[in-house]
Amino acid sequence: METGTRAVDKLTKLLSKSRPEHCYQCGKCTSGCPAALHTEFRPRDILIMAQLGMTEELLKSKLIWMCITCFTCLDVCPRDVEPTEFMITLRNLAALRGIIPTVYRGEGSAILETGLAFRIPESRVKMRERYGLPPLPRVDAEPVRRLLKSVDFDKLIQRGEKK
Amino acid sequence: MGEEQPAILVIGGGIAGIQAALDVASQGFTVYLVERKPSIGGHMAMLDKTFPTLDCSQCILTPKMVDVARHPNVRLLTYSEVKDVKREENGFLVKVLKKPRYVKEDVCTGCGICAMHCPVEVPSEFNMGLGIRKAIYVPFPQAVPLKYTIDRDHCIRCRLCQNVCAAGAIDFDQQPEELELKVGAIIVATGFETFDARKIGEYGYGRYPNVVTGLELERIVSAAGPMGGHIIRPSDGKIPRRVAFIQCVGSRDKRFGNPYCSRVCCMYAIKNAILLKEHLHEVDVTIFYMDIRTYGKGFEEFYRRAEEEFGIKFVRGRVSEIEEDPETKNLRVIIENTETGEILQEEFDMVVLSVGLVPPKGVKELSKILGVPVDEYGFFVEKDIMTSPMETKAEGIFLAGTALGPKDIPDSVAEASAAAMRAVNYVVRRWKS
Ligand SMILES: Cc1cc2nc3c(=O)[nH]c(=O)nc-3n(C[C@H](O)[C@H](O)[C@H](O)COP(=O)(O)OP(=O)(O)OC[C@H]3O[C@@H](n4cnc5c(N)ncnc54)[C@H](O)[C@@H]3O)c2cc1C
Ligand code: SF4
Repeated sequence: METGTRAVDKLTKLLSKSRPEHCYQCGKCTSGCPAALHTEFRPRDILIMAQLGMTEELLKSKLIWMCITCFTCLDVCPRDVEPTEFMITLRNLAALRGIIPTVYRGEGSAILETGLAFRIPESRVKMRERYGLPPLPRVDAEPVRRLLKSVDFDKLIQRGEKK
Repeated sequence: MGEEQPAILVIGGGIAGIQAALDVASQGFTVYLVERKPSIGGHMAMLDKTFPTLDCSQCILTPKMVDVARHPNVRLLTYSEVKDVKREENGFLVKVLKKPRYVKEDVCTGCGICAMHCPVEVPSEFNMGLGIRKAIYVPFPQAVPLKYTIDRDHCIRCRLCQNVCAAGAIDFDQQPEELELKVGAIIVATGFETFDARKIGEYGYGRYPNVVTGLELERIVSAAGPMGGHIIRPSDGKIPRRVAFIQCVGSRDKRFGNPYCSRVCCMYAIKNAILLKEHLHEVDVTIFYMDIRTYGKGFEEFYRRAEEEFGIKFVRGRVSEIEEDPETKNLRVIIENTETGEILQEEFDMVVLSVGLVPPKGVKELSKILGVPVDEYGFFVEKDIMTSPMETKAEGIFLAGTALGPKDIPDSVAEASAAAMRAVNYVVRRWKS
């Protein structure tokens, strides 16, 4: 994985591929957005901030991490904008800067350790036994770990971490 | 040109074509008016009232339809299509196919006894499928010409009509007729079609009975319509108490290749919202819009009246989805009010889609026949939008009305008169030299 300035350049170019400047603020993305229903996240706000040149602010904002990447907005957008892709690119840029919310860091390290994004607690395993459910398949984390380390993912998720 | 005074062909019998034909005819020239449907009138005949004056649409149109049909210089060719156009030294040689009505036009008196006896009921195209017609029919009572037509796709050949027609007008052996016309100029006024709202899956049109289009609402509101002017919703015939209008359906939407504004839907939605308020005093009406485009004379005032005098609610935002309650058939509209950032989920009894204007079927074929290009959407292209908007790059062929792009009736009529003038100028110049 490239993590240096070339990566920043590439991602910055990728931002315009999502055509945020085409947005005319109709709000169709936002009214269909499941994340917007429960949070202050508004895809439409992200796009107008981009149009106003507020990329810096976006990278530092927790809003870009609230998208659940369901792609509903992309389906309904009458202007061919790709809000989901835009959000993903912004997150990648933010990560390169070391701006990563704690939960996402946690998920990253969980994948490195267990091969799964979600650490299954002991209590859950016991519960399955109690209900007579078969044991969960064992996951061999090693190939996943090797793959992620080969692209420096382990270092990426530690960037900017306050120790 | 030769001795004989050249004739002019008008293709399309909507308000634009009718106006052009009347203007050409009143200058002493012969006009052939070719309309592919059984009657002239176009979309204006389907409207209840017209914005911004709320005049009765039929009351303005019907006299014009009668005038054009009775004008001594007009030859009306309905149920007919232009099949070929050849450029000749002195104008054009045009082949017109007259489809068989299976009713002799010169014998039928329009009494309608046949339709009374016809046992076959078919959804009426004129009423947008909300009412029925018979297999032998006139599309609407004011049809011009008032001549019946047998729809052979639905006719069961029982011949009851033949038995009851006192004039003996029924002729099952009628054949298509090919006519050759010599004309000096052509005016194209083939109009528009409304956007097929089925394409927008998230609005559920075609699946949810209480989601209707603006044109369907025109028929519902009309006193001469399938519901006799009683405003009731399709699923259960109940009077709606909460009605929503959704704007820009199939317009300003790149997904369907229609990035343009259809120009009339803001105004026709406001018009119909006011009509609903006038008919049903207890109705709540909300219009969900992106921008209200009221560009014409008296239009902005009309919009303001709707809000201030009639209490119609305007909410800025584009609806992402409509959900139907399977039991009540009520509709939940999901929308962000983009002025407050609030996400609303409101319930309505009926939702009206303000469908945009698109080119009519068959426009590509006609474009080839005429040698006049259409743009990327399928609207005919003018020679120069600034200086010769009614002319085309093909000499002697002129344009008028919505065949050029979305517009309202006043603009269509103005263009029709302009095109008529240009066409007459053109033939006179060549005829005199
Ligand atoms: C729901 C709705 C409400 C509206 N309300 C209003 C209003 O209140 N006020 C207002 O000003 N405007 C209104 N409009 C707009 C108005 O309908 C149009 O401006 C007007 O009808 C355009 O007239 P036209 O003659 O250009 O086209 P049309 O009315 O479409 O007529 C075209 C005719 O050409 C015929 N034709 C098509 N192709 C061929 C062919 N190849 N050969 C032969 N004939 C052909 C068609 O059958 C048709 O009869 C409304 C539109 C809609 C959809
Ligand atoms: S006239 Fe109004 S509803 Fe129609 S496309 Fe334009 S903005 Fe949308």
